[in-house]
Amino acid sequence: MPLRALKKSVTLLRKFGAFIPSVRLTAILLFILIPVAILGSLIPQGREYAEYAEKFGFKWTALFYQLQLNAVFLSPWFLFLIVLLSANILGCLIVSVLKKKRTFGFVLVHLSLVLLIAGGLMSATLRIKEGIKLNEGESASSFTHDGKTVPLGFEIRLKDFELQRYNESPEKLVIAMPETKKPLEFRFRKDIWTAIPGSDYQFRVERFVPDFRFDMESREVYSASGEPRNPAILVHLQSKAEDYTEWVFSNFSDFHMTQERPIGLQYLWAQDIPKAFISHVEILEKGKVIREQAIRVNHPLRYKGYSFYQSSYDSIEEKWSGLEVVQDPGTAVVFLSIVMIMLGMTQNIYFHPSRIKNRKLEE
Amino acid sequence: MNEYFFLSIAFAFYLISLIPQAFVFFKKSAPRLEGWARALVVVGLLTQTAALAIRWKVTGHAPCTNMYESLVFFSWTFMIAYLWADLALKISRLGFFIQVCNLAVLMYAFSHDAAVKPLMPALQSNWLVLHISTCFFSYAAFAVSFIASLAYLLPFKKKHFSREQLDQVIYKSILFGFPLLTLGVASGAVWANEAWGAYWSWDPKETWALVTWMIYALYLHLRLLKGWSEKKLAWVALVGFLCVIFTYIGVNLFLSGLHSYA
Repeated sequence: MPLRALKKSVTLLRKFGAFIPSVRLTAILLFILIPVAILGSLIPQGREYAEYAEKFGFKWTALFYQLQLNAVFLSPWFLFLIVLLSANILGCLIVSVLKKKRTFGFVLVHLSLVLLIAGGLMSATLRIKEGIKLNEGESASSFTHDGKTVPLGFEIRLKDFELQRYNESPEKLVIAMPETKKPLEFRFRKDIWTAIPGSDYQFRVERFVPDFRFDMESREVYSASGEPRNPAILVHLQSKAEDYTEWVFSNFSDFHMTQERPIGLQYLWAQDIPKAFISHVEILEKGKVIREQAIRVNHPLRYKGYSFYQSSYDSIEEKWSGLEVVQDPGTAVVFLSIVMIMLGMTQNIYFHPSRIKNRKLEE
Repeated sequence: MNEYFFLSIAFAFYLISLIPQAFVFFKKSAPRLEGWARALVVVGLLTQTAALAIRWKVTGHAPCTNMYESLVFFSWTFMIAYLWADLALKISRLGFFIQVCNLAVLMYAFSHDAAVKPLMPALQSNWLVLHISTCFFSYAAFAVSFIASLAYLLPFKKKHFSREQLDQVIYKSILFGFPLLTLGVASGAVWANEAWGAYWSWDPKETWALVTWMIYALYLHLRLLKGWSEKKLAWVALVGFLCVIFTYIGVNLFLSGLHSYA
């Protein structure tokens, strides 16, 4: 009886072994992976339990957690499918090369797919991606990863952070005090008090609304759209005698003027579109400056296996910059596979010997 | 003469080309009309090229950075793909349906804001042209395969279309577009690595591009399997293009991610 069972399992194993390098398995795996990827795009990934519960309810959230659909692309069963797919591709490649004549392009494409999966798995397990925040003049020689301090082996110092804008004339608030002849112009930032020279007044802008609307029922201000059709700011004016807020409209400059409040306010709106975020940094070793570079979006700094990317900035005073430190050994493997797959596909599809022959025959 | 003038002229030529294309569809043999239809499309394409060139000069960057620009650019690639398919695969009868779709794309483009807006920092890259153009040329080839698969699945008479020819159009269009889509996704990955420090982030746009890629890879592999009829394959091609539409437009409307400017 045990011998029969052993024979049966050996036969099954053989059948499974023969099934691995088959196009049928490729098709089955793709039929499974396609809906899984769609699910992964529809269900937000890597969020907190409370967020899922609020959005989908407790029943669905429990199911998501049970099936690991909240982090599907990192789940063991998804990784198993991916590994199985690479085994399938490799098996198909070996079998088809041994049995049939295959073009170099065919071999290159399928080999590159295996390499791509290997590179992806390397990245998933070995990638380091952490943020560091540097004030102007400040330097860092290490960063924190998984609760541990990782030394860089050099120092990176932020010399200066620069925010370039498309519009050189930014938005302004013009204030006309009753006792001064010439109105004063102020560049402003939200929630920052600014003193008005020649008076005991100070002001701050508390709110910006791109498309001002007033709801008569709730008596609340809201924006009808994200487009700057009716830009308005809520200005808070304060002195020893007075303390009040009023809305100032860019399109209707006189709308707010009243005799009781003789201070004239005018809002000159201008779209503030960033052109470039630039971190001017220095690399130091043993106190000496080795390299200087400007890090901007699409132009990272690469040094001794680490890459530094521009990721965030101080939007109020433009004094600090957020950089992302990345070390990913899988990237080179993935890029090599990209080169291979493109060369292989070009040869196998556009310059395939049999297709060229057919084309010539047709002609 | 500005961009909108040339674009209107192109639209007019495409619209007029519908007349000979309708005759080509209903007549058994109409080589002269085919020539007229082709000539009108070529003139339309040339004027659309001028419109795109003017837009490029005015904005200072490739005209494919917002929905309006990308739709006009897609229409342009679609017409190139159509002319290629018409000459290489002899599909003149499909021209009428392709042109109707192209006009719909242009009208959809006209419903979007055409104002020139400054380029955000993430899009200021040399990868923009390669990534966008390869993606859109592949979408255009898949659009041709989609129309051919629709023609295959709809109950047209034999005199209109030969099933074998339609199957070949579907297959060859996908075969032409697949490496381009691969290059589009791959160049996007290299660009993402330059901009965000990760070549793949499972962002909805990336995921849906991968889904589209997998469906067309599935189509190419299913052709090798026994038991997969041409009709079933036409359904796969049809689903593939629905995924293209969702990747291109649906993701922007329903899912937020790193590509939310697209």
